[in-house]
Amino acid sequence: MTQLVIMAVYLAALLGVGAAAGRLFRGTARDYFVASHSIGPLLLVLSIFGTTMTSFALVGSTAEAYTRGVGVFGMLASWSALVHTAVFFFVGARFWTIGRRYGYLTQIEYFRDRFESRAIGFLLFPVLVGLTIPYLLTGLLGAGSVVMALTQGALPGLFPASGGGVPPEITNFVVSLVVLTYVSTGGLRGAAWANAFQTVVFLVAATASLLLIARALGGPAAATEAVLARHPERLASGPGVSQLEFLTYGLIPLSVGAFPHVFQHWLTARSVGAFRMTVVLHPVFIMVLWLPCVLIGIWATAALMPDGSFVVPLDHAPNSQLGLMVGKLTSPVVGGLLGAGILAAIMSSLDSQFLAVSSIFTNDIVGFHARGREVSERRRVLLGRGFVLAVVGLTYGLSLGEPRSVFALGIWCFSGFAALMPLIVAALYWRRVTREGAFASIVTTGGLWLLLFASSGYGADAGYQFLGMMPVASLCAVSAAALVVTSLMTTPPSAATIDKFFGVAADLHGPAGSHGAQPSR
Amino acid sequence: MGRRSIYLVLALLVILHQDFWWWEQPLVVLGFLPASLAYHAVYCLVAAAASWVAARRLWREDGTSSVNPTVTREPPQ
Repeated sequence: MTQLVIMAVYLAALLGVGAAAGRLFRGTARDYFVASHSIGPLLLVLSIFGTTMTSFALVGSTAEAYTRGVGVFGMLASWSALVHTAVFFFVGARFWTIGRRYGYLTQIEYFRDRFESRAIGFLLFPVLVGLTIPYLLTGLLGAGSVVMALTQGALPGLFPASGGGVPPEITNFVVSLVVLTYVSTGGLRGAAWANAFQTVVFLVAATASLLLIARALGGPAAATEAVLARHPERLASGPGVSQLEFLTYGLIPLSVGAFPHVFQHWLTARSVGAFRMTVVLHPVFIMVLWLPCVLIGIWATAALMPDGSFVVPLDHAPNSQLGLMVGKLTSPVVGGLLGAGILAAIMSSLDSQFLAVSSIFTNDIVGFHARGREVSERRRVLLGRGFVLAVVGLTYGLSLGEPRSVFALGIWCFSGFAALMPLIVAALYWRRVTREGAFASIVTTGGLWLLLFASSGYGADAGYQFLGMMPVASLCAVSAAALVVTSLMTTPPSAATIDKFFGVAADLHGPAGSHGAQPSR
Repeated sequence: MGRRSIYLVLALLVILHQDFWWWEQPLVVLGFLPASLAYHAVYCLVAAAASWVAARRLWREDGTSSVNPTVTREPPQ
């Protein structure tokens, strides 16, 4: 019961943060969707980190370390430390400049201009939204399973079927409602403030949980010795993972450059200087968050209760390892605080994702159809809020279905986004890329992704590989090949477009840049 | 450090990521930390340090960048 009260207080505090941010809302679509480009360095790094780390990082990493061992840190955390930073450096800062100059609010607006094509928006919209929904789903699945594990035995009279724990459908509903409320109130500024607050909470929670669990297991050395005795293979990177698989995992974090919500957060930056702190602190934060989760995951394979039973029973529910370790090895107060931290990680991604898909819908579908007709700022914000409600409802409905591994579902979602990276990098750095090349890349990648996802039983086969590699490798290769071959076979983009995005006009310090090219919208 | 050096460091970090030398060995350091985990944790810090150097050298004080020629400190009003 104590855990529930603490989590409820945390959710109330979050609503307070959202309400405070909402007081600064200026009533415009630009303010609702990109916080009027007002976010400084510290808030930027905290909000971007919060939005890129979800239940996948906490719940999924612990569960995967429990199953596969410490190799999961190298497969995702340290790869992300390098790849995310490189993407922020080479893609994020450049997108920020172009986005600011031409007034873009979404990726699709940029692609429409860059590829001189209205149709590309209609092709990208279902791809981006379709890939975001499984990502949202990982958040809700993680929240539901963790809260149920943490509250085991708290309310036996009310929830006998779930061992007295709060059932996932209730947690998912409450989490969705809270996120919906503060996103609707404060827009992206509300999400950024809430993310920063939540990032601090879950970084502290992960560290505290490691220390308290280590103490409960007789110290970190004793906890690791127990693993060494029972499951020594969990302490090495290699067992069960080929070098090729380990290498191709490095393509998955490329997805961060294609996430609509990360693109939107980039645009909130006040200046390019704000990116400096992000590229430096992001890899440090990754280490601080993932290290405790992976250690807890491997310790869970051998951790015993005083009566000699396993802390994580063999018939445990999917994704519940972290919740069980925290719930059984720490006090209810600490369990509640850590539960709040886990919810923080999950909700700090959900909010931005909800907002990003709403932004795409409002600006790229409604706004685009209404060309030439006036759509008031108030109506845009209203439509944005309505679409968020629809996506929340859909995701909640899907979360009630058969649970999948958060890790497996996340990997499929990230793989799809990563396969869009050849298109993004080419758009930013390759003048010769054409509209036809972009279409070929999106269609081929989308088709192959659907085929492979279906082959894996829609995520049910968590260890699915294609040609002995992670599917993302084939997806990226096909995406890049279709893009390059088709572009070279078709007519290059117009000189005006090249000049707009690569020429002197693109240099904001150049004379033509100061007065030449005009914003497209 | 120029643009070429950045690409070189990036390539080196990609190679160093494959810690094949203790692939199957459950080594422990500091009494509790699996060696592979410790290695990759330090790797994250090295990535942060490399980013710090790159950002200092390539994102110049005037806001322009030799990697991203269009990067500026503030947009035109």
